[in-house]
Amino acid sequence: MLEVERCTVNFGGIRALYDVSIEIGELEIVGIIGPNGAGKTTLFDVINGFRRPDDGRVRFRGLDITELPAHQRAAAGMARAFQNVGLIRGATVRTNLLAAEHLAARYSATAGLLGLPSTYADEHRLSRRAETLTEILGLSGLIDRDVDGLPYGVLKRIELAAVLATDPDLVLLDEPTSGLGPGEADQFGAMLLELRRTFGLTVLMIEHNVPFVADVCDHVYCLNFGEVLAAGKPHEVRNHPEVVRAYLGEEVPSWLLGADKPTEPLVVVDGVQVSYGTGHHRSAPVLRDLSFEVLQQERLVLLGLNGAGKTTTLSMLAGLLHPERGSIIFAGQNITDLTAAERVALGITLVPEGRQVFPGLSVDHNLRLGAWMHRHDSGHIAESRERVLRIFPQLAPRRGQLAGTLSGGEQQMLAIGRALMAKPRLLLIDEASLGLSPAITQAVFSMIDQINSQGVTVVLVEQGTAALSHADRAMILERGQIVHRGTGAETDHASLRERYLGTPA
Amino acid sequence: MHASSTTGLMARATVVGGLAALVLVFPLSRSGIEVNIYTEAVIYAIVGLSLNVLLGYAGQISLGHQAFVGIGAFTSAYMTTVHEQNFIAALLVTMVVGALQALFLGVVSLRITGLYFALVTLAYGRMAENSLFNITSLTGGSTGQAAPKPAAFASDYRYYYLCLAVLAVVLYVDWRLTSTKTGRALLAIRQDPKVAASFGASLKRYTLIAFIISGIFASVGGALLAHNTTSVVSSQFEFRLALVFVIMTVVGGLRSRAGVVVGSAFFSLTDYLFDKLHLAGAINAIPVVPDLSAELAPLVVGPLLLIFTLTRHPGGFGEMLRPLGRWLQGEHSPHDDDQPPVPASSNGVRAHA
Repeated sequence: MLEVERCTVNFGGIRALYDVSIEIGELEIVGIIGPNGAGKTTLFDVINGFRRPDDGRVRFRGLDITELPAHQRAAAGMARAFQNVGLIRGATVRTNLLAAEHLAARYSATAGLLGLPSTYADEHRLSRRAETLTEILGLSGLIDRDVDGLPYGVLKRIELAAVLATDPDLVLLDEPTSGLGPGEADQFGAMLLELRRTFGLTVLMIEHNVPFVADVCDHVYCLNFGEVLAAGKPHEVRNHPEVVRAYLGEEVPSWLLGADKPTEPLVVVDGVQVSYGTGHHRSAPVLRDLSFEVLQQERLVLLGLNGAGKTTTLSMLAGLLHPERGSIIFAGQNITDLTAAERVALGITLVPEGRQVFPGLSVDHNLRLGAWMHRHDSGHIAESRERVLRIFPQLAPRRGQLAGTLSGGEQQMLAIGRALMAKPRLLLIDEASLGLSPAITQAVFSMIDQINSQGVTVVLVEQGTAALSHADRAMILERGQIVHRGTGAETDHASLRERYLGTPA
Repeated sequence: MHASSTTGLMARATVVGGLAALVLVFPLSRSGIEVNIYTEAVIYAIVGLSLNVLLGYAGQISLGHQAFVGIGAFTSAYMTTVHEQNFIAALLVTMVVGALQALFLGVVSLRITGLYFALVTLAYGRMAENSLFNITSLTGGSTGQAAPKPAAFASDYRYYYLCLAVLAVVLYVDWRLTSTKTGRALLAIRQDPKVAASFGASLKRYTLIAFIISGIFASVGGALLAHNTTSVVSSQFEFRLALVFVIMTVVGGLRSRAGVVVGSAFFSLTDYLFDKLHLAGAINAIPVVPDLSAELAPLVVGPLLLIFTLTRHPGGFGEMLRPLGRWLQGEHSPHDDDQPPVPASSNGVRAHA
């Protein structure tokens, strides 16, 4: 159905793809795995028309589509979901689905503008079709909700509905299970198989969750440094020695629990309540009567399902949100009413979810911006930069490169590095592992360990349990309340996992 | 419960009736000269909606909109006076010309974006002012071009209703624009061109469609403006008019039809209202601007309101009018209905924060 024939893509001197060939048969589910920066998303861009390959051809159902623009490939039956959820923000689910049904409208743009009677009937049909799709995907109650503020897992599902609304034959999914809890990932796999049957879909997906890929895919390609490293049945690729080395990485030994760490608290959160919005638009409290401590120099991991209040907790510590009730004490000082900027000056910095580096600035400028508080102190900047580059040696050769051209893993390192430039005492990290391969995730965690060993207290919000072996203590949040506290090892217990995190034991 | 909903209905009917009376009946009680001023407010609303298509839907700025309007005005005046065409035929030609010149700028916008495109539109407006509007055969030179009102709408009152009818048509087209695939394609393109492309919407096609619609609206507004004053002079279409257009659209509230209409009418009526409310004296009392003419009032009030809008009420008049609109449709105000709590998600948070 789809043939990628010897495609090569260069980004100004960097080879993103080299001589990559891929074939997908009708109704197959094909997975692409590979470390961050292997060129997976670039390959998607080539397939769906966002990037012309420098060399090579793309054929879809025998037709050469190499020169076809993306919107015409959509008309040919190709749909794509995005790594960071490709939905129209600030619009309702219905509007999103109607927008995705662009090609399904039978009227011309002019007829629509003139408001001819037939267009009303067709709009009605499209709206009904959107409703049917939401029912199929279990979203029926949400159709008139604004997509902003819906949980990540739900957004992913809405995006899938939008993809289906384009009436595709081939669906490209970029990390469909990222940000989903392990239980949710299994559900998603079952749903995907079901959808393939119902809609006659062929699926190509980029995925880091290797067990998931092994379960769902008929065929797997592993990319590394822009080249196809291995291809075949999932179990063949999974056990391919080179794949194991390049992709899965070696298990990083767990951090030994530091017995000599001080036990007095750095942060005391007492009885806070946090809601979103103001006045009449105020939501129900997301955090209710929440109290906890962060100890000096510890690594505290916050776990919980989507919507449990993890990010809210971090935002509150960073000063992006202010509690309506309760207090926050940092190093003996009441910081409840301090702004985010004032807290940065005190040594609290946040690494937001999704990295949020400045894509149009170089790595070096990103780092300099992190040291904004010390911008007049060139000595501080040079020293901090040296320290950051020691922790993240990968960034050193890329100092002049635009941050937007870095791979996901490198961007995460840059985001953490940028936060370190402010010389924090307390580092708040939101989903460091989101969208990273297991090997890179482990590497990032051990870098965080290294930062911690230099005396920086770390609070890490995570979706999965991979961070637990790097935690002194862990807390599980559920609907804005702490339902479990313990050491990392205790929390990594099968019964807890199953009960709160949805991971089968 | 029933009684209260009946009173609600009564109250709503009273408000709708009051608004309708203000717009439809009140002008009949005023002099023809004053009705001309109201007509201009209606036409400004059409121009505001034109700019809203570009600025609000397509996300493209135009600092040369006075040229869009001016070209419409001169084309219609030229067709009716020099070529002695009837009003409808002239209007059709005007729409074609307006569409073509907007299409030309639209093609440019596909190559140049953001600040640079704003500069191109600014230069385009100045270019039109200094060259097109100086072609004597088209514009009648410094004395201007005559633009008689259409015979059937020769009275100021009838012409007012004609303009209201045109505004209604423009509002209808704008409503259908936002409720059909064109509006959604533009929405997707404005937010994320990649997502739009993956939905099958062509950026080129729909950006150009937006320019064409905006161009047609603006040229129709221009034509109506010309015949309202029965003659047009090129000095009417100076750059400061483009500023007023942008300010009234933004202060009115991008993407809000009611907001843009109210905002545009308000800015068109500022000097009139200043006069009526005897505020001109008050402005002249400000020592810094001793001899401010009433004409410049929009350019003083405008930026102040613009700053206020951008910092305090990004939704403009439209946002402020929304509760009224909801109430008129018989919905409860937002704090009355129990919306299910928005689940706090890791991602939703960022959107709120």
